[in-house]
Amino acid sequence: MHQSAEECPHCGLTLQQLDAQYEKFEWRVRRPHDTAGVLRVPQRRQLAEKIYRLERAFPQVFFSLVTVALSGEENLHSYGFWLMNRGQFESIGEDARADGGVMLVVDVNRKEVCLQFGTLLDPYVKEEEAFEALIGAHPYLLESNFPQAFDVLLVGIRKYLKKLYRIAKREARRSKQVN
Amino acid sequence: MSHLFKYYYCLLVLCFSVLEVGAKMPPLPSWNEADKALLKKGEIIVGRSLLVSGVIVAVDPDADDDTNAVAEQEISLVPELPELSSEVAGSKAGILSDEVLEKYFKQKHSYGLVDPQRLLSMQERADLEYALNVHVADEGLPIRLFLFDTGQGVPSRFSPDKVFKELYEEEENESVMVYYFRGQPKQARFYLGGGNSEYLEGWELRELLYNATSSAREKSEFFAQLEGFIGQLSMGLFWVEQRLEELVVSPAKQSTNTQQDGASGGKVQQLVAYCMEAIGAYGSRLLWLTLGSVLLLLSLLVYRLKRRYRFPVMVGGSRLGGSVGGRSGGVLRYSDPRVPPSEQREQFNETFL
Repeated sequence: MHQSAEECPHCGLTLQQLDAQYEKFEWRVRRPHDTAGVLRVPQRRQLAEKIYRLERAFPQVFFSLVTVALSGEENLHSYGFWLMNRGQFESIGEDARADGGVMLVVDVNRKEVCLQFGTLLDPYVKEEEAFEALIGAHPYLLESNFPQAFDVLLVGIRKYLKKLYRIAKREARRSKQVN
Repeated sequence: MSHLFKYYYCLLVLCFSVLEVGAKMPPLPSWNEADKALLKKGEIIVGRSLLVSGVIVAVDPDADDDTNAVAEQEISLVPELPELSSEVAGSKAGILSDEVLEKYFKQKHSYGLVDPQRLLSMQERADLEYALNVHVADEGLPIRLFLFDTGQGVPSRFSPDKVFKELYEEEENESVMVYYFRGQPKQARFYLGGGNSEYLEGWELRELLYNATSSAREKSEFFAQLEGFIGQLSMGLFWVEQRLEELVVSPAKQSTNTQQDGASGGKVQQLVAYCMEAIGAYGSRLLWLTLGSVLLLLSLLVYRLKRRYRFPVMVGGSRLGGSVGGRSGGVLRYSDPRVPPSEQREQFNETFL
């Protein structure tokens, strides 16, 4: 998926096609957004507090944790991309940018997890490194111990965001020198 | 030929000498008939006069016991070797003259060896002074070593404590005075004065001297004894110095503690005092170090909590017509426990979407 491309050069996929595919899904995104219902209310509160602390360190970024049960043609990448673009995220901080989203998407049906990023961080993200940020939670996910898994995932994501920050700073300095 | 002539000449001189000596000696006794008869009876024993002194009465077996009593001879005991008493030794070595005493005690001496009588050889003196200098260089308590000869006595008015108080009392730091008597380590006398030495217990100093003396007595030679004595004394003084450093802190602590006890008098204060004493001289340094470490850790913690990571904004293009959505990371699957994350990396060669 090339940047600035209106449709996928391989399959011709566009955002409008995704709108049609995921029209039944909730587009108002709470944080955490537990549509699969794997968390209890107190666990959601605790998770919301942890998300708030994470966002305090990265003021431009808003973070969301989404659990969903996908089926058929739906997949994690396309759902995350659609929700990031079409979703309305609740209670975002004042300094947070609209393109500064970081979303952890968990498909409890296919048992898959991935991270979705906004365009603020897009230039610095590498798929493999984002994958590395998740693997610490694998044992807890195998046991469906979601609260513990989300704790570990948040720690991994915080570390990864710091790494992205260093990369972004370096890139910014480099581009300044070039200009 | 000449050798043969010399030989004959010597022989001739020897013969003449013998003849001349023989002419001067009394004539040899000659045996008469009566003597020969007594010799046959056994009443004369040849050479008896040479072997037995005194008058020997001939024993008559037929005579009475009284008359047969042999005159008892007084046999006196062989006198034993005379023992060298202390008085004799003292008199032999001599009481120190006033002139020598003045050299020892009437003037101040710097640290090291004090030997106005020159009892040591040059090499021994150099070795001993080197050892004392090394001891001082290692920040040990300085030693003034007064060396005396065997059996010499020091008048009581020149005892180490009196001499120290008279000459060296104004010195701020502790120092040691030792009177060492050549070959008599047991007679050594010791005094530690100045500084905070009054806080030391008497038994500590006695033990120090006893150990040094014992170490010296293991050797037989005089200088080896002295070396052993100084070596052990130096080691002992190291621990005395450590003890003194502890005692320097303790009195100040004790005074503050007594004031606090008057106010609160709780067991907590005693416990604190005990802990402070246990920490000893390093207490204040340890306290500052701990305080500094805690402050540093707190600063780091506050910095980490307060730090804000603001990303530089780069102008980037949208994807698939979306306004804000961008790239996604790799997918972690947890459906099969037999497929660990390490086996899921092959996905990164695939195309996105």
